[in-house]
Amino acid sequence: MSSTINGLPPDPILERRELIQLRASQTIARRTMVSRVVTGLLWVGLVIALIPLGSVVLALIDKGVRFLGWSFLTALPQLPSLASLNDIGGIGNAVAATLVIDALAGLVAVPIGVVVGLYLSQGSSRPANFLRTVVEIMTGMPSILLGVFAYEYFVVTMKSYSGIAAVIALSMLMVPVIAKAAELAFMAVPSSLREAALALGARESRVARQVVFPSALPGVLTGVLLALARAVGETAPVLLVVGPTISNLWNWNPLKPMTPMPMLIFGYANSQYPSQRAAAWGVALTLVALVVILTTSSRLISARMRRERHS
Amino acid sequence: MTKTFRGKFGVAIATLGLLSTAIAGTAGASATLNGDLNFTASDGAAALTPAIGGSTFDFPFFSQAIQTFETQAANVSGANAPTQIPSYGAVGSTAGKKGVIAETYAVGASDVPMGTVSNGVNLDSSLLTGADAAHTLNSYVQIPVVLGGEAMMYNLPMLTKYKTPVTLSSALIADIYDGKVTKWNDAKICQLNPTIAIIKKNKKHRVISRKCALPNLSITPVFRSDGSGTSYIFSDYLHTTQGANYKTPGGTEVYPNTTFNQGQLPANAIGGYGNPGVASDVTSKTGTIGYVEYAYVLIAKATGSSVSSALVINAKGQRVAISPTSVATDAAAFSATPPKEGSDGTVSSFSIVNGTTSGSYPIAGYSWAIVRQDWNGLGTNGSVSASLNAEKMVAKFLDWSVQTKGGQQVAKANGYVPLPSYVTSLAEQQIASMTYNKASLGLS
Amino acid sequence: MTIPSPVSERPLKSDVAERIRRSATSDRPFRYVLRATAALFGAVIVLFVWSIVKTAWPAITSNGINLIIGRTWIAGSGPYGALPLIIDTLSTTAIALIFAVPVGLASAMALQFQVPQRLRGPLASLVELLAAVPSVVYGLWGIAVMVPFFINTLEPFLSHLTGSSWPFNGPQDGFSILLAGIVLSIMILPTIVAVSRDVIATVPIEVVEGALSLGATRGQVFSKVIIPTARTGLLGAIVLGTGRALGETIAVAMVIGSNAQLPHSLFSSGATLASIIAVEFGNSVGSEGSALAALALILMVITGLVNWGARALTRRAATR
Repeated sequence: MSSTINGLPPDPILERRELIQLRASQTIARRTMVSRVVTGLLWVGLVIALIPLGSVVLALIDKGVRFLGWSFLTALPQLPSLASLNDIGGIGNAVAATLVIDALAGLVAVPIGVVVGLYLSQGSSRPANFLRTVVEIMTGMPSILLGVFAYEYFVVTMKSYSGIAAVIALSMLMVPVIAKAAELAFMAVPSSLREAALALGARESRVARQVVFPSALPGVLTGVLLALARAVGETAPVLLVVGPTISNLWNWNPLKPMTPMPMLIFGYANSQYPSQRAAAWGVALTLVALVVILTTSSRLISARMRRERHS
Repeated sequence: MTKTFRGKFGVAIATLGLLSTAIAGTAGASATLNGDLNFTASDGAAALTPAIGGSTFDFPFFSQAIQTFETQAANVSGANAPTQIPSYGAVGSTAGKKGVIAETYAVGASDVPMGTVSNGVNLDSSLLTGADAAHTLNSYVQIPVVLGGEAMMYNLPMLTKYKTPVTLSSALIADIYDGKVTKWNDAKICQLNPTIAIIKKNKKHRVISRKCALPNLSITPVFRSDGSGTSYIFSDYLHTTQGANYKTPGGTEVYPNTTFNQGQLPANAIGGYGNPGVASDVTSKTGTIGYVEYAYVLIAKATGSSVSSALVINAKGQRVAISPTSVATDAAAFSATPPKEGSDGTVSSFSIVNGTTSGSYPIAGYSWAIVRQDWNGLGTNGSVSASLNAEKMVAKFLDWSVQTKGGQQVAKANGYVPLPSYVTSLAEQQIASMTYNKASLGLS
Repeated sequence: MTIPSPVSERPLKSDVAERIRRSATSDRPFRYVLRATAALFGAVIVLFVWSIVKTAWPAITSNGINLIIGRTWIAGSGPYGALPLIIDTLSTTAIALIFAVPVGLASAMALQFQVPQRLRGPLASLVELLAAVPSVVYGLWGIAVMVPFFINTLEPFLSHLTGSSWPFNGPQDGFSILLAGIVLSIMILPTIVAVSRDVIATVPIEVVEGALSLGATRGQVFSKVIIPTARTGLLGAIVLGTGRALGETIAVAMVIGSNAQLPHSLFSSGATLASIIAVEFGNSVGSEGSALAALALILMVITGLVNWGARALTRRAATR
């Protein structure tokens, strides 16, 4: 690194300073470069994360949109045969089955989930801690296992595949999600509010009903909608208990076999008829639209909740 | 019952005569039904919802037959006809048998009769003893409903320009599913298919060179990932023809006893879910081969797929294409020993693989509808809704299904083979043996 | 995370406390409803676990350790060895993690620190939208879009690139462990992103600013400050994703090829614990039903432990 100016002997101090400057600039350049590479990589990661989403959404739109229409959503499916290969009809009964099953699952799961959440939010007694662990483990429990359970206890005893067996499996999936969200929402209610109400002599049930619930409602609702969104798309547990993969009858009675949309997608995706394999995308798009509506509403509610809390 | 083949099948009829006395049930010998479609208001058929499901071998048939039955019944009986029979549950033969025992299905369809002993193992003993030990085979009636062949469907679009499809022997099929033959241009396959070749001729039209035109492509065998009667027929065929050569490393036959296999199939094999799953896997990938009921080949071809079904070398050494005729010929080879039900309820002589008549296609089988013999005492909730009316309606549906002028027309239109008359009469006798609270259903 | 409620935890020694206590005791029905519901839920879960253990018990006693280390599975009569299923489950999960962890952590940090404020919300929603797509739709996408892509492009490309050396050798059928792993990685991505964003957000801003003011570059802040500080929580996020991948059923069943075997390469077909239960459950014969329940139990124990671990990690990160 020595530098000589006009043949003069090198100035050690100057040389050292130059050296330091050079090193510094090199380090800075290297650090900047490394930093750029790192930040660049982060961007790349984000873009990669969005590629499959893009592909799925594109496929859904590309292959699914042409099916959407009032008659597709409301008419009964037709069963194709060698004589009528392309008669697939609509998906009305699958939409109906999805609505019936998930509404009932909600009816079962919401009260239980909310009350369990309330119970958990009230303290850390030993049973509560145990239950909290159970809830957390259940949130990640593979859904197929609940299908096995619902089969053993409902299909076998009722001697029929049925919507209600699916309701049981799905509500068991929903309760932990709702309970978790409700617990957090209840705990977020300022304890001063609760104490004040209690201090005024209000009963606990009254406090819960009139103080805790209203202010925790948005949080609970977010959890409920997220749980519903998950339940609506669940296939694995439903597959074992609900009924034929493709049905061409109207049935609003959950005690009888039903064919909700995820089941129909599974049946269609696996079909020998190209027309049904194509129509699977129409069903999928409908289902994804339903799920997106549910998740978006939950997001809007939680955003609104956050705004209100800040104001 | 049609009586056209009486001369030819005299032996069969005689056997059946003896048999009918052995069949439990009050209806006994007066078993000539006729596909009656009359329903009155008191039958309450319009609201009945008996679930039917099982074999995917039968799926194209039952799916269509249920609708046609309802339509034809409505033509005869108007508003009293059944309208609410659920769509056929295509879940596999094993699930069909399980379903009828668990009473989740009023009718369970299976390509292998219940209680069949395969390789020393009763496939259904646990089904019959597990949940409810009071059940025995005699609690069930087993009715042959369709006759069909299994195609070796393959997907090699580059070969469609050759007139003849690929020929396979049972040894080769076994080798393919055992992973011993892994390429389409394997010498053994080429040797069997001299016409699929690039042939060079000189000016005098003499062949100067012949090069195997089968592609240098891996064979992807597609098998059934679920418990399957189609697999049973397939392995029954391989067992009959290959015997000891067709064994797994463990020494037992794989396919009927093992609904999914570990390390016993080629590494690249793909499991399809049901006949539809196998068909859709084969149609969507070049180089695949799978065993499916002939109806699935017709559907695949009708929807523009380039799949073909292989010619299979039969017991006579002939190359035979699958068709309703060649399957019927195969079944006829067994007319002297028609399927029959023993006093313990097991069905024997149902296997019709590898028929020895000229022109018979060797991979074929009957498919069976299994129902409870007496519905009295079954739950009135559930899928069976076990009333006299429900049992009557199901019996009428099955009766119509096996009639030449009824359901067998649907079978024919979808690539199945109408049941031989001696099998129809077995079916009729079986249906006639159905009772409610030990009294005959009184079907005419 | 667990903030004990002041009312039930800390007895106040005052008039108010006395009134609270009285009012509480006078409201027994409410408490009973609360406890009864919680107990009911607990009981159902116990029943759920018990029913699977009960069904699985015969297979466990007759197969013993072979259930986990055995390689032969003969339906109806046994023996039942699930080693190939376990290995395939672990392989697909590992593949999923190899893709989802770097991409997920990078996306989380990019979302938290690099994306302009007004784009942050929408982009985060987009990533989370991945979680809104039902599993069966991923399966459909896998069959219709990815399988042809694998057969025609990716598998030949990888095989060509590596000269067909392990693990890129073998059949190119599309349906494979690799495809299942990739579909899984997409499915666990939103979980990893969402949880790690939450964890990263707990890194005190002072620490970040401090590092920046000392002249650290962004890259250094990420690698030297944020990742070490949030390590436990990020690990929790990854473990949570692992739990998802282990138990995912339908999408895997649709793309893995349902051929239960020890994997020969990334391209070989396979079957996972969860996928085989879905495909086989309705068709089990003989003692196979019990063996499938034993698979369910193995799956339950593995995912239970994994989820419990993940929660413990994220909670530790949150409380620290």
